[in-house]
Amino acid sequence: MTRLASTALGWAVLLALLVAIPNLGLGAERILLINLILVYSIFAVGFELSFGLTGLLSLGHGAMFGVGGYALALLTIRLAWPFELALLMAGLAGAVLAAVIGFFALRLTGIFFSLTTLAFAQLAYILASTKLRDITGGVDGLAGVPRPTLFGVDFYDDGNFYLYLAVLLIVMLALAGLLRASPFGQVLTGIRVNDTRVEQLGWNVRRFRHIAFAISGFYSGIAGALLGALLFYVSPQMLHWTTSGDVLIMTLVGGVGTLFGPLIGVTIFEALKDELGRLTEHWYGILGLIFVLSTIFLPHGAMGLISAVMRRAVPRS
Amino acid sequence: MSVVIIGLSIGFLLFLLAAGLTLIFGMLGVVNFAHGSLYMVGAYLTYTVFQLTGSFWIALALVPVLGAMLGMIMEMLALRPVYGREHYYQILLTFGFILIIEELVRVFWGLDYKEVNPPAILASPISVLDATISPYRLFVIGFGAAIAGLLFYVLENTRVGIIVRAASVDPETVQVLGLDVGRVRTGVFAFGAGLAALGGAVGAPLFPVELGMGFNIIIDCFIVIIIGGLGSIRGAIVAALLIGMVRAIGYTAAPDWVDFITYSVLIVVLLTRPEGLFGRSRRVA
Amino acid sequence: MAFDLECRDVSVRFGGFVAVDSVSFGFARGRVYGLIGPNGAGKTTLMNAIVGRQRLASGSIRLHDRDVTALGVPERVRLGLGRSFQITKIFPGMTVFENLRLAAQMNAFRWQPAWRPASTYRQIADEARAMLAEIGLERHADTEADKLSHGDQRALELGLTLMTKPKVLLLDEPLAGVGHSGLAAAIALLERVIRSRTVLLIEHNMDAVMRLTEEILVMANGRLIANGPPEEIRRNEQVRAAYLGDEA
Repeated sequence: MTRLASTALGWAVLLALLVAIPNLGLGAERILLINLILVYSIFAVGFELSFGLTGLLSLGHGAMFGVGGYALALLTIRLAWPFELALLMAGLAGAVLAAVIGFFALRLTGIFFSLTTLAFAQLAYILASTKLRDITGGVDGLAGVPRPTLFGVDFYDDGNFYLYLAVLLIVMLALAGLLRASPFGQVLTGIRVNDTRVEQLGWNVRRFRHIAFAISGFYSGIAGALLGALLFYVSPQMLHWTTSGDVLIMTLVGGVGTLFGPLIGVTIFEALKDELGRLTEHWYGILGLIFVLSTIFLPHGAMGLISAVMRRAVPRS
Repeated sequence: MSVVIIGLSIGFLLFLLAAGLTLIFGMLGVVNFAHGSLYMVGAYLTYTVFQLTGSFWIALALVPVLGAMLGMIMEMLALRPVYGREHYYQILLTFGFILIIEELVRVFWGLDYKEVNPPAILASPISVLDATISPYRLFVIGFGAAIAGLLFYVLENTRVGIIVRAASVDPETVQVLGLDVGRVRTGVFAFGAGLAALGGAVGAPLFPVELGMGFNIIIDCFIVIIIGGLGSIRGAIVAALLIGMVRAIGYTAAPDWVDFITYSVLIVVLLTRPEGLFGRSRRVA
Repeated sequence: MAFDLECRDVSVRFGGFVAVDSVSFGFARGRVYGLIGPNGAGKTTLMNAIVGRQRLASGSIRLHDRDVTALGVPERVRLGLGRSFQITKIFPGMTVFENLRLAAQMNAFRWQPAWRPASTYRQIADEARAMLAEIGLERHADTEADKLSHGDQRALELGLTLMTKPKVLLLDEPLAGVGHSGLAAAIALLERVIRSRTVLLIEHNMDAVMRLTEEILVMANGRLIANGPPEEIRRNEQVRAAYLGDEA
């Protein structure tokens, strides 16, 4: 199956699912779970642009995620901004923070880069939970984050909010897909697999990495804002290293280097969290185990497994 | 005066951890994010051994061995399969270990924090020149210095030590010398893990034994090995004592800002001199 | 006469070790130069310095009569300097066609577009196909680059370098590792490629050097010890000593 065909198939399956879900008569809890999956999917797709496409392993993406959430919360609660405008600003806040962190961190490579992103994110976390308590509400966070009010629709109904989120996911995913396939995306791929060669072809590698990182930050900011709206609440926990770790797990388990992988990873993560969480309070450890096993045996994640199965089922033309 | 003692004791504790971490990185090119978790396991195990035997000294002897065994299992089961792949796999794996170990600790020991008291003969504070000093801290300093001395001796003067030093510069030397690379790797990782657990045992009477204690200390460890230079034991000692003093001064002068300063220092060091004081050319990690 | 490329008193130092020692030379437009010398003579280091990958301890590099010493690698590429690597640097996981198409993007777009798939741009596809034909890899267009034979990878390496349309071409041992059977084809390809360009070629294969170049530079211990037409270099005593010394 050609790359184009498999991408088309992926879109078909996704759209079919998204259309089917409202008609399944799901209960409130399930709808919340699905909405969580949609929000985290945007986060993971953005993370994938940095890690999977460009090869930058950031351990501090929670910072952009949290900053986006707080931006939306503060702009809507304290300054009564319209939701969509605040949402856009949340994305920009994530992009700007990523650009700032990237300015420093991208001077380094490998583990040094990763550690720097981790350190910056922890700094942000400390600021949010203690130093900037007056603005951020400290460890308690900020409650009262509103839902959008577009076209007079009541988005406080979770079922309606699902539609809002689904549309946003489709748009963000499509943009990510175009980016990956575009000439710009090709350069990023080249940088991931042989940055010396890309430099020798005439491109400023650091600038490209910086832009990719900022775009990834934009996605994280949007996702953080949407999480805030979904839960009516933002907290410093969003900036914690465990959040950064979570999105890393989601992306890896789903399949690094693919467009739809992150969505599958998020679904597995959140579904397991939900189901396992009912059975045992040790679900996080089991998730860690799945992550470790997945890293060893399924380096290409769930997507890799699906691709392998499909390759056997559908022979190449 | 007491600040100095506190600083030095923290410093030597950090050294125990940093030494293992820097050896593992130097020889295996692996940044063991789970090092803090091994420290935590060491502390919890110390608590349990103490509960069972009533002797801190037995714990001190036994816990490093248990830690080394845990490290051996980790290396053989998880790290070995991914050595050939890109380096970020190792980061991912050791990160995953953190989650698993954290959960295992929760399963076996629960959520509340545990207390480990220093052994009786070291418990009561003594007065020296107007200051009250905990004799346990003096013990930590002495013990840490002894371990440091032992490490130096082994690395400089024994066959094992020379092999480790050579292999940390160029892992292929190990093969040329006719040794099984896999065994050497496992051995180094287990040794590092044992040191971390030993650190946990030594640190248990000093800090509350609780979940998350691993992460609190791992950042300081990273700072130490980066300032000291990845792969350098010499650098680890100097940097550990330095950071220990900074921590001690920080606790007394500005306890609110200690964490913030810690992370800022890490960033500054990473940006200005990532190869550290004694570091060799950077491994591509 | 202005040189296309010029090294003025170029020195490169690694700590105390002098890898390149005051090398001065001017490369005239359209001529093909060879750079030979024993291992460790500093040839690749000099090339790295010219290309911008290696900082100079002293001296300057001039490209088209403009001082480029302060410029980085990408800037010099955009001024017309191309370089192929001794150790193949291609893009694994991408097909040969995709490798070349990516390289074509450099000249095709000032700002790399991010909203349309690369496959929808005809121009870069055409250029990639043309280069496929030029380097003789048409039948491998859809093969993943890392699955090619070594000789074919060297050809792709050359193809990538040429895609940036360099006027000054630096080739670092293009024949390295090319087996006996592929040698004739590889040399023929080189012959086509070096026409109408200013070329500096590092090579150990003496037959190729003698055949392809118009002037040869000889380095030993970081210094330029001789230069001249191939026949003259072949007879030069100093050069023989440098090589024999290395062999002993």
